[in-house]
Amino acid sequence: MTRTDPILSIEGLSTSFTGDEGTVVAVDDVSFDVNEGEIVGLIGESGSGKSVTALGIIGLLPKDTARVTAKRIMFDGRDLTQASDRELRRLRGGSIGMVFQEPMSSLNPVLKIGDQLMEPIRIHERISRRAAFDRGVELLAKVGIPSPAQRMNDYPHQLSGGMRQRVMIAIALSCSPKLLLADEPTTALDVTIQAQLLDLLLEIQAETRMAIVLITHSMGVIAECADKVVVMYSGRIAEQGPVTEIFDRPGHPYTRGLMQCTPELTGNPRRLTTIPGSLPSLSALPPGCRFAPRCDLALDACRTGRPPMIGLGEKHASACIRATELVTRSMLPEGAEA
Amino acid sequence: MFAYTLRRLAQAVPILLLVSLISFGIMQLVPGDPAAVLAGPNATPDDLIRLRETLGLDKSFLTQIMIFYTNLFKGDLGYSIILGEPVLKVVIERSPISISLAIYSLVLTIVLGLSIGVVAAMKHNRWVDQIAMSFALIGVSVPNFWLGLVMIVLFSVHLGWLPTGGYVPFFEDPAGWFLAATMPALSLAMMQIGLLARLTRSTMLEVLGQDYIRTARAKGASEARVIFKHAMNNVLIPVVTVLGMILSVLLSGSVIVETIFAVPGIGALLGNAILGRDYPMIQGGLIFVAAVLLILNIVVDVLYAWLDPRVRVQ
Repeated sequence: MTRTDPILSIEGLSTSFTGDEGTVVAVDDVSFDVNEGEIVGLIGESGSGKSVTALGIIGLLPKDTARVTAKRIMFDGRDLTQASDRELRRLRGGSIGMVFQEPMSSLNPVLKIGDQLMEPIRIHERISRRAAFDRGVELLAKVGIPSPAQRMNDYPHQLSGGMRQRVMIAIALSCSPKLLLADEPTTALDVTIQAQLLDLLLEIQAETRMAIVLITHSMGVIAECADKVVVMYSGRIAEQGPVTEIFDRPGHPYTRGLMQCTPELTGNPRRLTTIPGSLPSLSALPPGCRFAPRCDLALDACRTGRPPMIGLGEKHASACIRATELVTRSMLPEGAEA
Repeated sequence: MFAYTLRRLAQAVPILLLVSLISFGIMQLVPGDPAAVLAGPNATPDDLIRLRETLGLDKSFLTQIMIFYTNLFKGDLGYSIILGEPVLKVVIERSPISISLAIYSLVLTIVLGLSIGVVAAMKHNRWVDQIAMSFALIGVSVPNFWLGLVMIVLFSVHLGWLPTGGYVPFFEDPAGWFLAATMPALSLAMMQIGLLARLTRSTMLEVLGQDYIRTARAKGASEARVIFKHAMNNVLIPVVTVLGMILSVLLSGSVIVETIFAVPGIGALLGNAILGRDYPMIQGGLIFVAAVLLILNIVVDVLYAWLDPRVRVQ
């Protein structure tokens, strides 16, 4: 196994928003690595800071309200925290592609599919309109759009949601990115289309070996696609590690909760459990572990001081003071922790 | 697109018929005897009877309406009672004056309104935005006749930069036309500039918050490209919709402004016609203004369909 530097390495990323009611910290000291050709799943409830993390990396948060700070964000050998707006712009759509959650509103309604698809190609490469058009047709064919040459002249409203998301993927792939940030790319689509699109992403990834940060709130998607998982809760990382480790030995009560929320099709059917309560408001965060108010394993010590990341194995770490205990207990038969 | 244009033109026909019917009805409904006005206070009853005969006012309602429409289709709008000239001829003589003034105002409105709105949106909540919006508020609240008078006092009386009014034909002396038309056009346009700037700003802010703008940024598009290629087209959709209304206000609002600046346009003509109960003139002017507005609105609708592909499919 050869060791290379990760394609993306984030250290101490924090993001705060300033509004009329003061400043809230949406992402608090987040660090993780993405290796070349790796799919990293970023999972958490809505509002846990997944999207803000991804948008913050490439400078897509509104400049007047958001403030992004980090020790380092290394991408492909350079530090994005030191990059100028111009340099970031050159990366966006070039070496870093993005797919967003809302296919219905992510395409410009008044521009043709072809123009929107050719745009990043023409921005990042010196290439004729003709050549860009041909590349566009190729890309549409690659993402499984029938009669791609005709579709180039269509407007977004003429395509279905699934087709639009395929176009978005084609746009993101247009300049052969080294990293794809996919922000809940299938959440807004119905289940059969979701599966098709995930397969498409996996297929393309297998072919191009690009790295993917896949943001989702579905453990099922993670299990199917990801090599590594980063679990986020309320702006912080709760647990991260290789996907098999996380599923076999979850080291954080929140990760366990997420897994119990996912129905199983094999084995004994059981009643789905939910995690009681909801995410704390960012303007009224609990001291100590942010999950403590919803955690049935919480101790008094959980409510004071930020829990440190505890190593549980190679590259597996959890921000729970009872992590080691949990990992050993998760080997016990289900129900034993009750 | 072509079929759409034809359909919109066909829809204009019944509207124009309705307008002509209303304009015919004016003569029947409004109190006051046109013959008495025209003949003056010293006319004898016999004079009045003769005058009514020549004007056709003694005939039955149905006959009058028949004559009205027959003449209308022949392009004959009758004789102006005050000016003693064919209405159509007068309208054709005067309309370029008003239309050129309206177009000048429209250009001012679009250029100033759009750019103030865009700049304010780009500098959202900064001092530039606040100054722009205060200006827009002043523009919306100041009545145009007051603005016109103040401008005359300032630029003509004190500074002597611009003539107090009048009209110079564009093709004879473009510079003179420009000098004479600037103050009337500006006082006509001021309110519309304010409205358009506010509309543009709020629409631009809304558009800039859309997901497709984030997509454009994610593609590495420059800020200028984001604003002018991705946002502007979407901002223009509601803007073009109100442009039709703005134009109609610029055309019909010119009655007061033309009077203040002594511009011999359609507005001043209609104002005098109404005061003098010059019914044929009022009728003709009404039909003419309605026709111009209809055509402009069709142009706006076609432009709208051209801008927004979602409308075209229908």
